[in-house]
Amino acid sequence: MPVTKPAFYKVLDELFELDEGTVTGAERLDALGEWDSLRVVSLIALVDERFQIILPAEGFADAKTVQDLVAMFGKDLAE
Amino acid sequence: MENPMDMTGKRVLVTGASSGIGRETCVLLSRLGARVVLSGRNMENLEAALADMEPGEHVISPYDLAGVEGIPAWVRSLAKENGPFSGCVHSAGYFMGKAFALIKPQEVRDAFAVNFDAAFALAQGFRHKSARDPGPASIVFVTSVAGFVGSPTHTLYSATKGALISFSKSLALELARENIRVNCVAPALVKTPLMEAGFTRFTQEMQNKILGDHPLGLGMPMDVAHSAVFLLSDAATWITGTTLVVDGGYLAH
Repeated sequence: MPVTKPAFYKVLDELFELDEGTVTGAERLDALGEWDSLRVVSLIALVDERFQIILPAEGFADAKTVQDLVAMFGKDLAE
Repeated sequence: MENPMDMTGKRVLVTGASSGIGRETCVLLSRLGARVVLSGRNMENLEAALADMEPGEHVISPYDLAGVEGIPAWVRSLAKENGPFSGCVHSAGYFMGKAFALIKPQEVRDAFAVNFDAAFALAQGFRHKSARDPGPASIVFVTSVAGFVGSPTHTLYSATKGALISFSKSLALELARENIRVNCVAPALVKTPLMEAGFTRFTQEMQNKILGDHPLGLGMPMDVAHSAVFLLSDAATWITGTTLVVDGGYLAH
C-alpha cells in the first residue's frame, strides 16, 4: 500500500487504539496517548507491515506532534 | 587424533540453511565430514551456503515450511532419494516483535505454523523408519532465550519458542526407545544480516540496553552452530531432553 497522510493517520488510530478517523494530523502525540519506546517500536513495525517502509528508530522518541512523525518519512506524503 | 564431534558419513538435514545459524551449521558439519541436505526458501542463498562448505555429498532441497502438511512426506522423500538421516537441525524460524495489543489472530497462527508446527512435522517425518538411519540419531531445535524469559513485544515470539522447548522434552522421552535424542539450543541475540537490519528499529537507548544485557557481547552464528553440532554428535550421546543455552551470559542476570 502506498503511504499517504490519510493511510498513515489510520495507522496512528490503530496504534493509539482510537476510533478510525480520530487522528486528523493536527494533534500533539501526548493528546493521543502515552508516547514511549514501546509505542515507537510498534509504530515502526506497523509502518513496515502496511507500507513496506523500514524507518530507523532514531529521532522518534523526540517527536511531539503527528506532523513530526510525518516528517520521519523524509519526503512529502500525498494528502 | 580422535575427534568426538566427528560426523563422517552421517547425513544431516538442516532447515533455515540459507542464512545465519543454519548456514554456519552446514559449514561446520561439512568440515566434520557430514553429508548435508540444505533446506530453505531461497535457492540463490542456499547455493551460496553450499559454496562456503567443504566439498562432499551435499544436496540442496528448497522447501517453504509454511506448507506444514507436506513436511513429513518431504523428509521421507529426501531420505529415499539421498539415503537415510541420522541428524536434523531445525534452524528455520522467524522473529516477530510487536506490542501485544496490536497482534492479530492470523499473526498468531502464522508464527506458530513456522516456529512450532513446522518443527513438530519435521520431527514426525524424521523419526519415520523410512527416513532414518537405524543407528543412533539426534534432532536439534534452534529455540531462543525468549523461551525462558520475557520481554515487552516478545509475547508471541516467546510463546512459540517456549512451546518448542517443552515439546522437545516430551519428544525426547517418547523417542528415547527409538535411539533418537532430542535437544534444543537457545541463543540470545546473534549477529545476522536480518538482525542487523532489524536493530535499526530500536532507539539508541534500547540498543544500548540490549548490548549491555550480553556480558560477552552479541553472538556469532558459528557460536551457536558449534553447540548445535555438539548435540548432534556422539560427544552428546548421553544428552537428551535438554536445552543448551548459548547466550553470552544473557540469562546469568
